Amino acid sequence: MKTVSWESTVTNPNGVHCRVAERLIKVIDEYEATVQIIDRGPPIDCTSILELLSLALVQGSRVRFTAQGLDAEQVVAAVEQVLSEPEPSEPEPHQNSPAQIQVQPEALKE
Amino acid sequence: MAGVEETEQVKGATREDTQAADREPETLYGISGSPGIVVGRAVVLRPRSDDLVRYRLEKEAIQAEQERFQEAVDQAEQELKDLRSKFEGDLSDTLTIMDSHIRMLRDRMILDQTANLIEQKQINAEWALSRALYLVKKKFDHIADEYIRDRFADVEYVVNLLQEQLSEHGQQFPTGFAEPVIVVSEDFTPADTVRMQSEKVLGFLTEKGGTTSHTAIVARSLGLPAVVGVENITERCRTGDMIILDGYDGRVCLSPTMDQQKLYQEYDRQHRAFSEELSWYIHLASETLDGLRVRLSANIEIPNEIEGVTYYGADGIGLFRSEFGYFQQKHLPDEETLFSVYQDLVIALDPQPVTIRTLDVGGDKLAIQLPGNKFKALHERNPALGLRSIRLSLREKTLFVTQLRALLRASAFGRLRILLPLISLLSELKQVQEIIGQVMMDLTDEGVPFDPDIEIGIMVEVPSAVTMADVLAAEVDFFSIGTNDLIQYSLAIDRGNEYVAKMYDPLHPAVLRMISRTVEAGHAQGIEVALCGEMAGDVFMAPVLLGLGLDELSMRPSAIPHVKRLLRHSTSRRLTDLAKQILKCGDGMETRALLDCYLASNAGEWRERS
Repeated sequence: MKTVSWESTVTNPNGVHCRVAERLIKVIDEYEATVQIIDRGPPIDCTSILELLSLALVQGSRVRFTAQGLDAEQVVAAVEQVLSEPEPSEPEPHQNSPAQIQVQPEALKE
Repeated sequence: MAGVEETEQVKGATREDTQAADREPETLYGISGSPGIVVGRAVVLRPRSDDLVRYRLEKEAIQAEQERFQEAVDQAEQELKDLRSKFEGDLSDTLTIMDSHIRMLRDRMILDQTANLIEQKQINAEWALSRALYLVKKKFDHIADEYIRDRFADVEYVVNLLQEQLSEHGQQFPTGFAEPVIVVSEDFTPADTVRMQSEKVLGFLTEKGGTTSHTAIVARSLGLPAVVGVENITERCRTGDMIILDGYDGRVCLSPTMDQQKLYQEYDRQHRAFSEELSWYIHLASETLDGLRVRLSANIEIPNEIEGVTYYGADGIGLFRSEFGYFQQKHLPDEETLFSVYQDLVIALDPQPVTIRTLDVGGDKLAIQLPGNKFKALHERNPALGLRSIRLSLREKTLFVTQLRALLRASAFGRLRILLPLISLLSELKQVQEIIGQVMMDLTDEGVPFDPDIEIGIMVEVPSAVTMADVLAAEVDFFSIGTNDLIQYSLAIDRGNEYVAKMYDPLHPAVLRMISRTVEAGHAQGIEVALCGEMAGDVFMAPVLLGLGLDELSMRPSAIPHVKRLLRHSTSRRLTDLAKQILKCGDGMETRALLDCYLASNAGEWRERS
């Protein structure tokens, strides 16, 4: 079983918030590998969005990753890519606030 | 929003567990809803507010609770996915956010945490979920970055969706209590009370309502004690408190002493002994000493009450409230389903009459909950004066015709009488007659048997029907006076309003005069007049009703032996004299005084029972 360990810096402007965390989990899921992340506390699996969020990885945070499995090497680049992605088409961070999401469904119901 | 409350609730929960022991005994008064005394622990439900429902589970109920929770998760997920599909092809950002919501739903901090709490703490899913959310909140509170910390709102949004699913599909009325309990709530709907038919419920206690509220009616039919109309009881009584529920006197003792518990158990024994004596009357005819017969029939709501009807020796069914058939499933019942219910009743009681009232929903009887929410859009300012009962039937003709076809078909199997509720106008009655005529023609064409001479009567429960009783009497085969509504409509009292419920007075001379007038109008046209309100089953009030010349009193089955005993100790002359005197009374106090005297001299021991 391959194990790869590396350090990374979050360059994403708003840090690891919902959308980035979601992308991260989804991307990792495409590979044959489990990825753990170590910030200050014990390592956590990159499968729980809430645990990822609660790490509060803001822009500039440095964290250590460990990948294990067949695709351990390939997953590194994918993770790096997500962590450095610019905010796509988002003028203001609050555009995606849940308030907005909650209002829309109501409007869609007849 | 919910974050702060969460903390409160969790604290509240721990306080609750230790509180019962150190409270002072306290007695609160309400209205007797259904007789009987029980001692047990309270479970306070607050289905009408946003407060969380919390209760402990017995071991065997854990598995079912886990399944209920999983089901809610599946449904919430489906809801989010449906929502997502509406945004398909939209901004990919929005979709990713929605994906993150779906993922949160199944996140171990929510899913596994809740499941573990249900398992280990033996608490219900709603409670466990709110504790799980609280744990997530604690983690998020430590986050310095405002933007990420605010993502807690997304978590809350997802958990709220889940809570909604739990309360929608998860019967707000828990069945997994560790011991039988007294259920306390602001109020219960008829459907709620039926869902709670479980050996785990000892009795009901509500904040709202009077003697004739649905909680009271259903509790009586289930034979469970109930006290209704106790102000602020959901605040004063806490889940886990030991309470005595005295359904005879409408009393509640909070945190009673051991002595009090013993005393109440003794009361209960005495009441039971008395009922045993009454059982002697079950097989005797319902007539006065001088041979005047008055039919004593039964009011029922659910078909399986039929056992009680025969057990208590009823002369048929004077009122079958057909609403229950409409609240059992998610969809409206079809003709076959209704027909088979009606047919079974008619066959079981043949040759005695079975009086079936057509759909009487609306007002306080939840048209809003009609399956399919068809009438949900109707926000009536005054539902009691709105589209209810026969008015609803005349507006929703398909619904009405389905029921009429079922009724007519069942009439071929015994003596079925159709009772039309809330008739307030002659033209309304004519409209119904026309529809019935049409349905009969259709059935004839189809070669389906029915009784062409089926008796059709109306409820006299609106003051206008009383005033016009002579005209209406010429058009129908019988009258049935519905005093519950008649009293409300004529005294302008909402029986479910705890502030004025005490003014709801069946012995108000205005009410008695209206009954008298209706009886006279009916008899002048040669038709029988029945009375099917709650007062018919009250032995204190029954003498005046008997004296007013009613041909039939229809009441909850268990009251029949009481009224029969009274009837068999009376003479028609004395009853008539009493009624004559009472009709001259100025108010309910005077009426009561006369009844007191009458009962003291004619049926001594009845006084204390009232």
